[in-house]
Amino acid sequence: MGAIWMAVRGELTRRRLQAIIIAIVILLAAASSTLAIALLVESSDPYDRAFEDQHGAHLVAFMDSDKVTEADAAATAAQVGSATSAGPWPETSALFRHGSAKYGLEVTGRDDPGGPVAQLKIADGRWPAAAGEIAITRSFAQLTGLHTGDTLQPIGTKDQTAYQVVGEVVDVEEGPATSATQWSWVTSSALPSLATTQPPSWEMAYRFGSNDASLVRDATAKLNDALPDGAVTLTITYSDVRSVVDSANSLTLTLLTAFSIAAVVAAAIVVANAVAGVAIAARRDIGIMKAIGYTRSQVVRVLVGVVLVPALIGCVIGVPLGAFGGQRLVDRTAAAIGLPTQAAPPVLTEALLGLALLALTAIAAAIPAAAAARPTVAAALTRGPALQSIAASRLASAIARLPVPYTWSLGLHDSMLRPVRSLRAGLTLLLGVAALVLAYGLSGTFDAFATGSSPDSTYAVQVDRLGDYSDSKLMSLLGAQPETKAVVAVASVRLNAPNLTEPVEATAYRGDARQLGFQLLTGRWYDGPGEVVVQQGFLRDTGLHVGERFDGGALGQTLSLNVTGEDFGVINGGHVVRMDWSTYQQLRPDGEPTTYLVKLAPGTDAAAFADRIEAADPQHLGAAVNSSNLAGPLGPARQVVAVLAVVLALIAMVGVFNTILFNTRERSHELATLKAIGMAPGRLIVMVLVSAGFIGLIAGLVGIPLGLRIHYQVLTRLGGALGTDLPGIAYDVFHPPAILAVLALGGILLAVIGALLPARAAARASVTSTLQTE
Amino acid sequence: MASLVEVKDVVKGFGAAGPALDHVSFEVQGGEFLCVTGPSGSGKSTLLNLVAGLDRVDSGTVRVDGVDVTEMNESQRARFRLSRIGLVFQFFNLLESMSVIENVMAPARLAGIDRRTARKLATETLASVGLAGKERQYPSSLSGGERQRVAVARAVINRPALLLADEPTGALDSDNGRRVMELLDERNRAGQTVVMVTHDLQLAGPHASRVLHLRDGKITSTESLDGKVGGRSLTATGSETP
Repeated sequence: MGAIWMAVRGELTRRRLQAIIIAIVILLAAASSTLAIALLVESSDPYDRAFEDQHGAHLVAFMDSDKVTEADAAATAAQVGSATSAGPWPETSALFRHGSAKYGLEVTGRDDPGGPVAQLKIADGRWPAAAGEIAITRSFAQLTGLHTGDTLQPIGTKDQTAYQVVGEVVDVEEGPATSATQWSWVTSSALPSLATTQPPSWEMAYRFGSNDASLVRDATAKLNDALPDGAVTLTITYSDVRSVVDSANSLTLTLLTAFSIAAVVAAAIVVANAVAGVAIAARRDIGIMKAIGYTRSQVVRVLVGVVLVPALIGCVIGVPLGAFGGQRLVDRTAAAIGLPTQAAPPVLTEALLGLALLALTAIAAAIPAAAAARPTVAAALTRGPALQSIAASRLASAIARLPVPYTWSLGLHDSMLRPVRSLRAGLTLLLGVAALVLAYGLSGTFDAFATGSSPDSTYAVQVDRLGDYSDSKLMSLLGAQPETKAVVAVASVRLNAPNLTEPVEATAYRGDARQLGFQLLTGRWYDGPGEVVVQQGFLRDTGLHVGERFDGGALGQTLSLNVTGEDFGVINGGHVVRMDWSTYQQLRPDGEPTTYLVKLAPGTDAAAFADRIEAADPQHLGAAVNSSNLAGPLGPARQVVAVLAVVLALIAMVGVFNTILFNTRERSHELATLKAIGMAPGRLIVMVLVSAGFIGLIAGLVGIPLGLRIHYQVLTRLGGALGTDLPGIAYDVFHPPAILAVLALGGILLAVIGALLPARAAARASVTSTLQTE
Repeated sequence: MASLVEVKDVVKGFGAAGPALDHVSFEVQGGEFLCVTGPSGSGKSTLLNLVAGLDRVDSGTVRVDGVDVTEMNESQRARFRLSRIGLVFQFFNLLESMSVIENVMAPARLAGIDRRTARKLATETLASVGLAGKERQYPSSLSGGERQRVAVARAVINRPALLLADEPTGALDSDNGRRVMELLDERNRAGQTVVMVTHDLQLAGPHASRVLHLRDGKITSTESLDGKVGGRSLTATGSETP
């Protein structure tokens, strides 16, 4: 072992640069795969993990306190057959102001975050203990920027007591703030003062023996049977929340899997090139070792050792780095989907991963090492590195005939001399370019979700009418503003639909709702009374299709409604119905809108407009700039894409660096000859960069369609996870098409950056000392 | 006649060892065939490399065709070689990945000559060294003598004023060595100045107009031979080692 270690140490000292390359590549591979493992392990089923941890409720029901007493509500625990339950707690909706921002929140009066069911995990601060204290969800805090210590001022209540945020909690009974209504908690004694228009509801939480959805369905039916008609105003089930959480998480996992596989493959290719490089470069040393008495097996062990030592260093740095990065992403993912932060993956898993990588590296090194150790001593000592084949030279010469300057022609020639090596470098670049295309495409997709087809495609300001400010007065106020381009007034009603256990949110629009930026997937917009536009989640769960009719019941009336089209949406599982004002009036003839969506003239300061409207009657008007978008839950996915695209680009660059370094060293004699016969160093640099850039160009040309295909597949998977097709604007993000040419140039850029240092080193190498090394 | 090469008080060393060239001065007239000889380690190849601008002097000057090579940067020296100097090496130094004709065309293409013209020139030059028909072959398929003839063709394609050859026959058998010497002699008769480093004065002597002897980095003697430059004896300015 002493002799082997001595030889390994000697080789490492002589081949420091190659050792550093191997260490960097293994570091990147270790970091990216550890990150992937950490995320895959921790994100595989975050919701169920948190649900069990916090004794989540399979069913949460809200009951009208006009029809159900507190005792009746409590009695439902036994009636629905729950294993354990909590409540009843009083619950109401309230509007709060913080600075110029306004927030609508559901508020529950609850004195204890613990209990047998629906426990709330305090992430920051403490539980409210007195009037004027409120706890909010961490997801809501992160979305709005509110912190413990901030003050929320109720709007429209008689009691003007301000509420201080004393805690941030994680609640597994609700989805993330970006895609679900958010709850908050005050003491039970403080709750009634927040109820303005109607008395508080009763909230009950039930937990059953298992997660079986049929138990929840049966329980919901029993609950409706046990209580008067219309007493149950809302139910939230385990599967509802889980699907919302999983849809956001699923995209992250899909991207993660795709990227981490690509990163590991790219790293493996680079390692293979690096190991082959060491084996070939050490050919003469191998002959000397064998000549002085090393056996073939000992030579193989020396070569493997030369690779394993830097690989070990790469693993020792890369694994903790990946684990750290993975944990940060896990935390962000958990926060974005409204779940508690999870513990780090076990150290054993990470150690095993490191060992697996080392084993793979050893195998990758042993194969070329065994081949390199095979020649006889004489052959190893007398022959130089294996020369390229005549066929490769002819291919190179053919490519070099392209009508380009001679230096470029020589570069093209060089790029083809080692086709397999170039192919390996090209593959890493191809993955890098595809990653860039995907990252660009997803960024565009997320922006499209955030802003619609254009920032002007939706409304700018939402105005809420609270209490005694009449509809006509508000319409006059809005109409009097010179910046107002259009006003669409909105009211909602809970509508019963076939095959659904609870009513869906039906929204009625007074005015042309088409200008609000809804993305129609199929069919057409509604065009009068009795016509509705729905979403895919609704169609799927009701079994309806576009063009069919259904009986929709609300407020004691039943209407025959014709589904004319479906638009894109994921909130509330796509259980959304949109209708014309005339249809709404059939259900509620005296109904008035409560919300007004205002489109403004281009260039208008929306915040100033909102402030001006609200200033007309701050007690009865709330106006806020439209900030609703879907981009929030996709935030972690965006981060995963960015991190892994950078990792892939780095691996590609290291791969090119290694390949070009290997090429220039192997061909140092020829490069010195070219310099001797009159090639200036600058031209030699250009030649080497062209040889790398050509590989980058080919990789770019292949990587673009590959990236586009992956983008399409990822969006299809995302649509599947969200339970709906995605609108065209999600796919159609490569504008102008010339951007694809720019992205293809990314392959050349990565290649040229990777090749720059070896090219400079080759240009600076001494001609005489190289040529004298015969 | 003006000197084509003027080496003046040149010193060149490598690390801690003593100087490879120690205050060497000499001149080469246009049209001369100068052989530089001496034992291994005497500084012959170092001297040739300095004249070719492949290496830098520690002190002193090297002028070729009136231009001070020591004042040039590496790019300028490369361009200078391209236009004025042809190099032939002991081990040929052909570009193995290129065909014979591509090897010969390379200096012409680097000098900016278009592909068609360069190919025509290369074909003619290859024919002049007796390698017509070998254009598409690769160096690995040629004999040592043929390889060196390709190297000579490559060295002369740009019609350089100065041809520098470092042991051009050192890796060849005597027949091939003689053939290469004849080629260099032909070039010299055609007007090109030749400076050749060699161990084998028996082979080179008949073609040389003058021989410069080096030992331990110093010129020990110069010897003018008949028949090359009208029998003129050129003065060696190096000091002779006792």
